[in-house]
Amino acid sequence: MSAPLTYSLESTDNGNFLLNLGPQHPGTHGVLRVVLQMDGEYILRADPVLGYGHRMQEKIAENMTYLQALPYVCRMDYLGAMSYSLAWVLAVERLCSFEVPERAVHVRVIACELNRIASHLLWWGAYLLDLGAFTPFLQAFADRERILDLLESITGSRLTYCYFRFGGLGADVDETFLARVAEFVTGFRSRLPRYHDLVTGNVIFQRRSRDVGVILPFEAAGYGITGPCLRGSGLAYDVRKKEPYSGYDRFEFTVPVAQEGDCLARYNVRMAELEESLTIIEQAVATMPEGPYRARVPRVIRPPEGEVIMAVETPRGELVIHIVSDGSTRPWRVKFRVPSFANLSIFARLARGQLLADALAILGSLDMVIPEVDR
Amino acid sequence: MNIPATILFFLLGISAIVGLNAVILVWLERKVAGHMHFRYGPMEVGPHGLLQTLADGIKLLGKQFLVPDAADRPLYLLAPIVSLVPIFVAMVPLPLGEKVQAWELNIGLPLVVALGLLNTLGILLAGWGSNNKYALLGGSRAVAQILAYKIPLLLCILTIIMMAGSYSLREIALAQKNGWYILSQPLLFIIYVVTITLETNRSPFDFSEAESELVAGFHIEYSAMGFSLFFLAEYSYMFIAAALASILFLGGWQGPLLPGPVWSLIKLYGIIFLLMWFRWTFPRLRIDQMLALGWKILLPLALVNFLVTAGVLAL
Amino acid sequence: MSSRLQRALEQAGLEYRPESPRIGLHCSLLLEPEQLRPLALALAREGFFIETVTAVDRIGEGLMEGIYLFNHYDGDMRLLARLPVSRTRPVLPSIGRIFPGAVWHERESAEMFGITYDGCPDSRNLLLPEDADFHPLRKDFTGV
Repeated sequence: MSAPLTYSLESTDNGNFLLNLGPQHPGTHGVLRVVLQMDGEYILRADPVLGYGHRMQEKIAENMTYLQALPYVCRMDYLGAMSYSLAWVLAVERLCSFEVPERAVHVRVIACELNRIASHLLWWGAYLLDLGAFTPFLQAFADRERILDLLESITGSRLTYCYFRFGGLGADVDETFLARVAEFVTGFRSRLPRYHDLVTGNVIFQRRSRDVGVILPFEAAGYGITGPCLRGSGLAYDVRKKEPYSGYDRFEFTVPVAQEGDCLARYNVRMAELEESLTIIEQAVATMPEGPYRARVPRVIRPPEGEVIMAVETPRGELVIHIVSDGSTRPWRVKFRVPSFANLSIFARLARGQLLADALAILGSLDMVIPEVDR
Repeated sequence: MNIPATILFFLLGISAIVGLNAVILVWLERKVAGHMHFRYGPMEVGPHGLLQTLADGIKLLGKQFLVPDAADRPLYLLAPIVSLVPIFVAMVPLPLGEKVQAWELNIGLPLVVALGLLNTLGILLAGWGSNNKYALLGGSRAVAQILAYKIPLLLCILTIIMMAGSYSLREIALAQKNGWYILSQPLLFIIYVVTITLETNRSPFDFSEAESELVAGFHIEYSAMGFSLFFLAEYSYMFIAAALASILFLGGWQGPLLPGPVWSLIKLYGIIFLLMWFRWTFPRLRIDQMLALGWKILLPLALVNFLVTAGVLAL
Repeated sequence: MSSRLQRALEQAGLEYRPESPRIGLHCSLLLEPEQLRPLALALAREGFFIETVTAVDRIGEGLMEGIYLFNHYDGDMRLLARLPVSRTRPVLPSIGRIFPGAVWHERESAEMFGITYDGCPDSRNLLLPEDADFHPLRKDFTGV
């Protein structure tokens, strides 16, 4: 990024024009605004303008007790709310040195992975929507709906879950739920080839995604890219493997990686992750221990003075929660390092010199949730 | 019958076809889309939502037609009309049955193809007249793609004309009494279907609308009846393109047992279903990929096919 | 695993003191503002990525603590650099030219805490309205 863009009309003198993409635009997946300087169909410069969904989540968290902040945390990434919830409870548990019963650990993993599949499915549909295919969106919704039903049956909500508690869960799961999850896993695994039949092999899709929006590994480090966007560039960084949390080291799974760094690589990584998530869920269901679902923790959370950092792999990448505690019932400072924010920051670099259609394909392939970027 | 009465009669007939066709196609499109999405589509108004389009039409009629302040007013108002009016003329020489034809013209086929061009003019006018950058991009895309598909399309048509030895649509259909051209020219049929997908601006080639990129493209600024006229034009062009396909390749109204017009409609709506199937299955190409497809694949193929056919006919 | 971290710190002339990873950190440093850019350069050379740039308002001590968080894609190398500066007119060094992704984090931190990032290539507001001149994450912020 060199000098800041000025939005005066003078820049249109040399045949260029400014195109205001958003904040209301079907291709931006939310209230993101991108000011594009265009030369015909080519983008000379892109400047994302954020903040249309800004709610000052960090200040809200500072003014609440740890428990009160829990439901708010899930409002950032409404598609990966489970991971956010998990990150918050894990951070507080780490800060207060709470133990979590085994059963809760397993249920947390199941819930998070189901949520990850739901999020990837929605991304799959929305990305194809960006490429102009409408059908995959609703096809993916059929399976996503099954997951939402499953999660609704244990959490009571369909999108912004508040199910985890410090030291465990809000409620136990029963055998019916586990049976339904197992049934979903087998069913979804048999339906997965259909997703590939419909889209992956499609020649138009391949040509729209291949070699578009290439993120090089060193660039990824400069922008702090994480998640599937990074793994599409050949770097196998997954917090679940590198800094295992919540019992992820007990389950066997691989971290899918693609080398090309383009939209297609990111697509392939996410599709492979669907299968890995299924494997994790299967293992977690099969080895589900009996026992309590919640440890006894103090009613009022008053952590010791100090600070803690908790990293969690959300469907979009690495979420880092940094809590500074002053020993009172409210956190002194909370920082949410959200994956979409970093992943979106490379967009301006990727969009430069691209066709408008490709820029929207790139934007879609980064899979960001705008309320998460804006917080 | 005297001439003015005949013209009035034909006009009424054609208007009825245009209106009914749009009503049916909009309904059909939503049903086809719905079933491809594991849902039902419209179900509430009338049996299986059959009257939904009618209700929507009434709603659109009741809406306010807005003209943006910055729009180029005459062009903006003219654009939907320029899109729609040629359809009424293009329908004149279309034979839908042995006796169902408004006017037998000995240059029917070139006339219909030429009138198809005016649709692009309507899109360009709308794109320019709206004074909106998205609309302008949509309009310019429509112009950029026109040559890429019109030339292969014309080559397809020339091949057929050469085989039938006539410009008249009726003659061409009758020439297929002993064998449809789709059997002798399967490649040509594929090229033709691709080009009419392009001509009717439908996915995977809906560049001038390109919802995810240009929001709504050329008709972004149109509301109420302005918008519905574009809609009407799009579906009527689909009707004409499919009718041409059925006449050029599938023997028109000819078929066993059923009466001619029924066969016409079956073939025609079969082709339309094919177009809908494309739309709800494929992602959109990029504009440069479409141009490459037109110039580098369709054009040489159509040209080679034309020359080979000419050679075979000469023998 | 932390040999890269060690090497980067050596290049920047800093001593490596491993931290207990119990709080999610593998190294935390207390730096003077002029020590940051050499460290960031060394980290970039070793392939570290930027996690975030933010601050903590220590109003009791009259300090604004700049926080720079780095990590490595090989894992287990999270490094936190703290730069306490005066709270009244806080100025912190920018690493936006070393890690392009830091620019957005710095813009956010600047508008939220009223910090000036010295040498940041873009100083417009990011999340707040473009004409906002208040700093909501400062502890003495009472509302607009």
